[in-house]
Amino acid sequence: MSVAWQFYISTVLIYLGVDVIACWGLNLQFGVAGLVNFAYIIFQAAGAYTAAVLTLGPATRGGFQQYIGGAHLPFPVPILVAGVVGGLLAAVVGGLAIRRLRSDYEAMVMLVVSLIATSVATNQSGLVNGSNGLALVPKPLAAMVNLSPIGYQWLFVGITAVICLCVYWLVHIVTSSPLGRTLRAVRDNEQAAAALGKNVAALRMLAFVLGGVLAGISGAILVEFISAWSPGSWLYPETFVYFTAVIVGGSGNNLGVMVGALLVPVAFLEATRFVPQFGPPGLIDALQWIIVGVLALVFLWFWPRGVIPERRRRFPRPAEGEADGAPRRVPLFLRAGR
Amino acid sequence: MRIAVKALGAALVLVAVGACGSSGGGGASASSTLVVGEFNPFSGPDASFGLEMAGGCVPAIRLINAGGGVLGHQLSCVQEDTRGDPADAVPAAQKMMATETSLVGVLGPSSDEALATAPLLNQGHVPMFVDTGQAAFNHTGDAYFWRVTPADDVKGYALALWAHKAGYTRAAAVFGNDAGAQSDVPTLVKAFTRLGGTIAYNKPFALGQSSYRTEIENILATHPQVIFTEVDPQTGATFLSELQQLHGLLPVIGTEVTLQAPWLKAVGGAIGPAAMARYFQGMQPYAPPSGPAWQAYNKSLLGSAAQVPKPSQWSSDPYSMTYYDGVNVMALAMIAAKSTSPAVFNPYITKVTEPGPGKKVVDTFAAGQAALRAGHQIQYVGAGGPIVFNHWHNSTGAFEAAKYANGTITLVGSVSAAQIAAISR
Repeated sequence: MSVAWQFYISTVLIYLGVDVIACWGLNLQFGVAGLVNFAYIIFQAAGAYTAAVLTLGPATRGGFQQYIGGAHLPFPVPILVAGVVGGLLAAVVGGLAIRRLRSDYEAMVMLVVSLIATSVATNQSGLVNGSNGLALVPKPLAAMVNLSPIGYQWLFVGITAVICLCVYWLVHIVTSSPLGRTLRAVRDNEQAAAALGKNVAALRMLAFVLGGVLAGISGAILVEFISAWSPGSWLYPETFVYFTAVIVGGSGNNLGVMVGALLVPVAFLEATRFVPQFGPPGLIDALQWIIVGVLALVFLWFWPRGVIPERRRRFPRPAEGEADGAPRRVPLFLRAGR
Repeated sequence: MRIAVKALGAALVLVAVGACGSSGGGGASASSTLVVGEFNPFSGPDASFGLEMAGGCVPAIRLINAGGGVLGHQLSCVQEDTRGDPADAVPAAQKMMATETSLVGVLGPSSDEALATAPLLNQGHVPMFVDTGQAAFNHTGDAYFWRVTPADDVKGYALALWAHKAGYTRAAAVFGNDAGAQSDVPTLVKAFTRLGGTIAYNKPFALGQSSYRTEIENILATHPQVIFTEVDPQTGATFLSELQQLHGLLPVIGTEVTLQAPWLKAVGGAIGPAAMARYFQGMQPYAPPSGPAWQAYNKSLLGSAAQVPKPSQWSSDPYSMTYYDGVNVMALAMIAAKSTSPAVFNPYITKVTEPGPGKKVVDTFAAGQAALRAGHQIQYVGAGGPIVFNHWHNSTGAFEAAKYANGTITLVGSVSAAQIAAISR
């Protein structure tokens, strides 16, 4: 296999890792907790900008890019801080939007938040360098490992894979714990969950923040890899690609969402790059957005549970010795709050 | 689940077939078609960039292929959509380099994705005739980077020189608060001050407001003789129509953005064609629609309607002309180097463009090919004018001032490259 192909395939694998993490985060919000977050992409953007700024170092006066809060932090600190910033932003947005609003109105507010965020980042040029965005972000560990360019690409694939495994472990224990069960209860019947004494607002907020953390981490990995980030990378339609991936893969199912991330943003959107040119310039590129929308509609109509549906949970009757319903030992942080 | 497995299988087969069919980059087999990549946004907010690029690439390819091609190879333009953002452009660049085994060069990237992808293309030894104006590339060390269009910050010098030539000494700077527009301001202030003028008002303009009454009052309080501007069409129309109502218009000198059709249409509609003709002038890279090189370009462009929608819209577009020139320069460099391998012909790009004693000046690919075959050294002067690369592979060129009257853009004067170089020192 030629070096050029290795570059391309390793790039696609890294993007797959980024998309899988982002889709798992959206799945926590939408698939598990039922939150319709049409502003999801802004949390990825917040993570990307944070990681970029914390890697670039302070902005130079009169330089070609101006931003606030520059620092030189070693890998993987920028990625971790990006996750924290994604979570904090989610807490702020969630505090404003999801405490009192539900479904349709919540979705409308989120869409507006996404548009406002893009507008602010574009027009406040001193914040994160406006429409030009940030660039020349140093590659993590590149100076230390002294690898060839293609060797470094494969190292980054490995780093991304390790982060994916860590994130999977996190989302798995959340979704398979009593907390996950309670979140699904809130999603399926909010009033019933509240009637059983669950603190619905806190649970929704928790899922929203966790999703924000994962979005921030995904953005951080992406910007550390491509070395640049601008408002054009996180326009609101990007959120719908992730939504389509979650719907196609199987909303509420971590494995299904992973397959959705492989099928929609990676396999499907990359495959359109291989379609031979026909028609006027830009026709294929314009059509792919239409096709993403059609894909979402088709799945919602014919296969609303996706290619790997969420598992129906059936609980066995208690065994003889467990007739009193003694609870399993569950870590405190995973127990559903009241 | 079966759908997922099938789709995954199809994707893997696609990649495997492509990988097996690839022989790596660098040069081309005996009769293969050489590929020039159009690496720009074809979708998204800047989708017009790609169409503009097709307006330069296709006419050049038609003429080259009609003249027998390059070293026995035909050429083709292949679109690679960057979608106007770095995140989409990086895999696009990697895919293009992996799959186009006969890739000899690209047109682009644009400012949307250049900082993320120019290093990748350089690393892949792909010559690129970029259309980014970002100042970050003013002193680039990338050997495969070539810029025929002026950097964004050069526009500031051109505006100041033209205003000085017109006798203005007191000005207001009305530039949008986006990074692209603001990048013009430092050099404008520096040059206008150095020429003895004063920028009496200089505050970033918030775009898209419904009224600019307060800003207008602040501007008028500084008594400017002229307004320098780069704002979007809607903002320009609102601002200038309110200025017209409140006070009467002042002379306006805009950047090349203000000479584009959406701006002219919006602002012309707001202030009226007579006021537009009287008060407005715009500065753009000097590419006069005349001369043998432009005539060859325009004739081929107008004959490209099958591949370029409404080709006449690009007849006087300086960017389309520079893309056309970029393809011709690469083709002539290949002939001069007797190789289609980018690593071999890349150094010849300056050899076919720079002036020199005894060099034969050629206006078209056909003339250049004939001169090279006859053993001459050549200087290609294209539709966009002479190309003189500096140490960092930037060729600034001159600027022209134009006005808009009776629905057409008319040249009213120019600022030379030498004047810009002198004021920028």
